[in-house]
Amino acid sequence: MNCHEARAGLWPPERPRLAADLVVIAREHVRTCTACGAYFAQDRALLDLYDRARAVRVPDQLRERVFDALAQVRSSDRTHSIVPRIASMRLGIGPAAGAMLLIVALALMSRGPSSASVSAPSVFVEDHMRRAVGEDHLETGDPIQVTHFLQRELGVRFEPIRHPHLEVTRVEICLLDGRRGAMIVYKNSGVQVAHYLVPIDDAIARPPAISEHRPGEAGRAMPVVTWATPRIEQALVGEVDREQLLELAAAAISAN
Amino acid sequence: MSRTFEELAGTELDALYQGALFLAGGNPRGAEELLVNAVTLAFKEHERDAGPNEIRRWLEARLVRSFLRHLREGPLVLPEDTARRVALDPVTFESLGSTELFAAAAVLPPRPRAALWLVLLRRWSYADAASILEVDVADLEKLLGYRDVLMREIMSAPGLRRTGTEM
Repeated sequence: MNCHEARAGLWPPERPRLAADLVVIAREHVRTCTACGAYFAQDRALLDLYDRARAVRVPDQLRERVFDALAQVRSSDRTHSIVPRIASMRLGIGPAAGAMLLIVALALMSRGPSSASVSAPSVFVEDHMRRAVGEDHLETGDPIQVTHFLQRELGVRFEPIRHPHLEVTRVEICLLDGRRGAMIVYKNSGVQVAHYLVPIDDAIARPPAISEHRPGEAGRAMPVVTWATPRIEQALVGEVDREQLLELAAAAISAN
Repeated sequence: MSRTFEELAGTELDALYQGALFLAGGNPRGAEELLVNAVTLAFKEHERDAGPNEIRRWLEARLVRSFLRHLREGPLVLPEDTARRVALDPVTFESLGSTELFAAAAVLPPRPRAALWLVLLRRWSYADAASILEVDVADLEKLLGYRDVLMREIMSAPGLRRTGTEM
C-alpha cells in the first residue's frame, strides 16, 4: 500500500471505521511512514486553523439579505408547502405570539390592494425566520430603551404605549408583508399584548379599526386593532377585550 | 414536526459564510454573493425530507457549485513547484487566524480550492467530493495536491513565527 492509498483509505482520519483488512494495513502504513505522519499532523494544524474561523459570523445585514432572497424565491415558487410548517413556529416564538403574528398579518393584508399581491405564506416565513435566526431584539422593561432601539433599527422616533396596566417586556424586529418592522411586547395584567409597527412611506393616517381573526381553523378568534399614523402602519393584538385594545391604541396615538 | 428550509439553513449560515470566505479567498463581497447564490440554489433544489446532516452537506455542495459556476476554470495539473514539499511544525500555525488562511486560499485555482475545502476542511469523503466536482477520484487527488501550495502560502503569512522549512 502506498501513501496515497493509505491516506484515502483512512480519510477522514477521525471517523470511526471497522477494522477491515485494508484499514488495518493503511493504519500500519501511516504508523510507520514518516511522510504520512507529517501529512496528518499538518492536516490537524490546518483543521485547527480553519476552526478559528468559527468566530466569524454572518453579518446581520447579510443574514437578512439571504432570507429576503429566499422569500422572493418562495413567493415565486408555490410548490413548497409552507402553511403547515408555520404551525411549528418555535425558536423564540411561542404559540401565543405565533397566533398574534398570524392575526396581524391577516389584518394588514386585508387593508388594501397594495398588500394583496404578497402571499400570506411568504409573510409568515419571512417573519418566522427572522425570529428564528435574528438577533435584533431587546429584552427590557424600559420604554426609553425601546425608543432607542426603534430609532436605531427602523429609523423612527416612537414612544411605547404608556398605560397604568401595561408594562413593556420586549421589542424585536420582524418582517411583515415583506417589510421590516418591529413588535413591542407588553404585559397587561399578565396577558401578552403585541404592538406592531411597520414603517411605510406612503401610509396614510387612519383611525383605529377593530376586527377579529382566527389564526387557524381551530384557533380562537382574537381581536386586532389596526390603524396608521403618517408613515407607520400599526396593529395591536392580544387576548384582552376589544374596548381595552381600542383604549390602548388611543394611548399609542396620543404618545406619538 | 418538519422544519422549514429557512429554519434548517439558518442554523448553517455561519459555517457556510466561513466556507464562502475561504472559497472567495477572503473577499467579503465575493463571499456574500456566493452565500446568497448558494442558499437560493439549495432552496430551489431542496429535498424536503433532508435531515440536519443532509442539509449541511446539501448546502456545502451548493456553495461549491455556485462558486465554480461563476469562475473561470483553472488548470487541473499541478504547478511545477508543488512538488516541493513543505515541512512544518504545526505549532507554527498557532499564531495565525482564519484571515491568513482565507488569504492563502486566494492563490489557488478554483477547483483545487473547492476540493481542499470539501475534503480537508469539511471532511467530505474523496468519493463524495469527486462527485460534486464532477471529476474522478484520481483527478481529485491531483486537486488535493494543491494542499502544499496552500500550506506554503499560509507559512508566508506576515507575522508567522517561522520554524517550518522547505525540503
